[in-house]
Amino acid sequence: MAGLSVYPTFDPTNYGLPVSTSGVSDSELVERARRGDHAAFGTLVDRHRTSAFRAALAALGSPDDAEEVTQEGLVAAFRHLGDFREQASFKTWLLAIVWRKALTRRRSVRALLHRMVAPPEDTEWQFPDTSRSQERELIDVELADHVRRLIAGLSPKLRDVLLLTTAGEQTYDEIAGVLGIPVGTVKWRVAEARRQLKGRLATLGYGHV
Amino acid sequence: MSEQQKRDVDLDAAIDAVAREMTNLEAPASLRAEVLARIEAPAAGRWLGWQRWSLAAGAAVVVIAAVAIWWPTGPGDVRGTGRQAGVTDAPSVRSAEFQPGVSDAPSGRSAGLQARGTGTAAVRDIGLPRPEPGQREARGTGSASVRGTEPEPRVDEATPDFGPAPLAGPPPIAIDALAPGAIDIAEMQVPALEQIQPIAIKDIPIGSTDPQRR
Repeated sequence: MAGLSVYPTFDPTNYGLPVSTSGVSDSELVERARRGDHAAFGTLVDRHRTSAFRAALAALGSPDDAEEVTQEGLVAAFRHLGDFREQASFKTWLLAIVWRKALTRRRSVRALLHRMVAPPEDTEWQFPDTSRSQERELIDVELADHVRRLIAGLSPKLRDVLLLTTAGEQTYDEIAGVLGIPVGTVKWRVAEARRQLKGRLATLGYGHV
Repeated sequence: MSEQQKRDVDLDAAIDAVAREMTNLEAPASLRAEVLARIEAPAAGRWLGWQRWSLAAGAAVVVIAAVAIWWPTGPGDVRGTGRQAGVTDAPSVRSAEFQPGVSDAPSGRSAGLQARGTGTAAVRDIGLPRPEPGQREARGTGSASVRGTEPEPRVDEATPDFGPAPLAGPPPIAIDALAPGAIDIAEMQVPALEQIQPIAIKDIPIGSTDPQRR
């Protein structure tokens, strides 16, 4: 009947009292996690899960796949904490792991088959419900649909950096670190993506080039 | 700002807004719990994995050991079929001394057997006694990999020698002489060779200026 007790059992050897980690740096949490403190790693997960999830979503376009990949990346990061040399921030290191896993998923046989069946232009990017977005209210619905379709049809290199930068979770430097390319290349790809999008929108009657 | 620039800014804003929407999702709140569960759970899983690998490694060692024991130890081993009854697998016998005219080749091909190679390493394998110096040595056509249910016959004095019978050497070629004689063919006639007179070569004394001496 002990399992039905509504009172928590007092364990004199375990003072598992909640401790605030709001003022603790990532480095310290990493150090604790290395020593086997799972709760410390849980705090790191809470801090960076959204960035990691959005990066995976930018690569994959599917929330379900992005969640799986994010979870795999976080678990892999915990298991390889010993390899983290703090040459970059923990966030960049973590996102690089998640990004590599996302690319692996994107290049998987299943994804390739899916793209063969549905070309990129016709791929249905699984949008979140943004019907109440204030920004969206300012944009012509038809234009937004065109932009979405054209972004989905961009080459992966251009689309990746565009989505990562507009997500607002990472700086250019962090994105360069995650992708393993120079910052200048990141900026060029963003500009090129915009140029191509605007050129294609012009052919649809939006603006002039 | 010109109309064109204004339109450009609007398009940029539209691109930014739509691109942001495409990744504007919060990570599931359950992510932390799921990640921590996976971090803690794999300890058992990895232990099982370690156990599996150990088991596989042990099995591999056993297989390798078995193969090493039963695999033919040399090129002279015989893979018998065990189909013959009461017939040894006929290890060939070689004399300790060289005997001209006696074939040295191992037969190893008694009924139902196939000899492979001419090795001599199978004495150990078939349980033959080591030959004493001067005795005949049983050659390695033994039965390390003989498969069958018949008990292996042992070679001893009571066992007849199934070695190869000495091969009869070919009769010597007898050629009397190659006497020159006339060949008489209908279309061609060759006269008999004439006897050539011996050529006398005179000695050239030392110090001679004869150019032949150089």
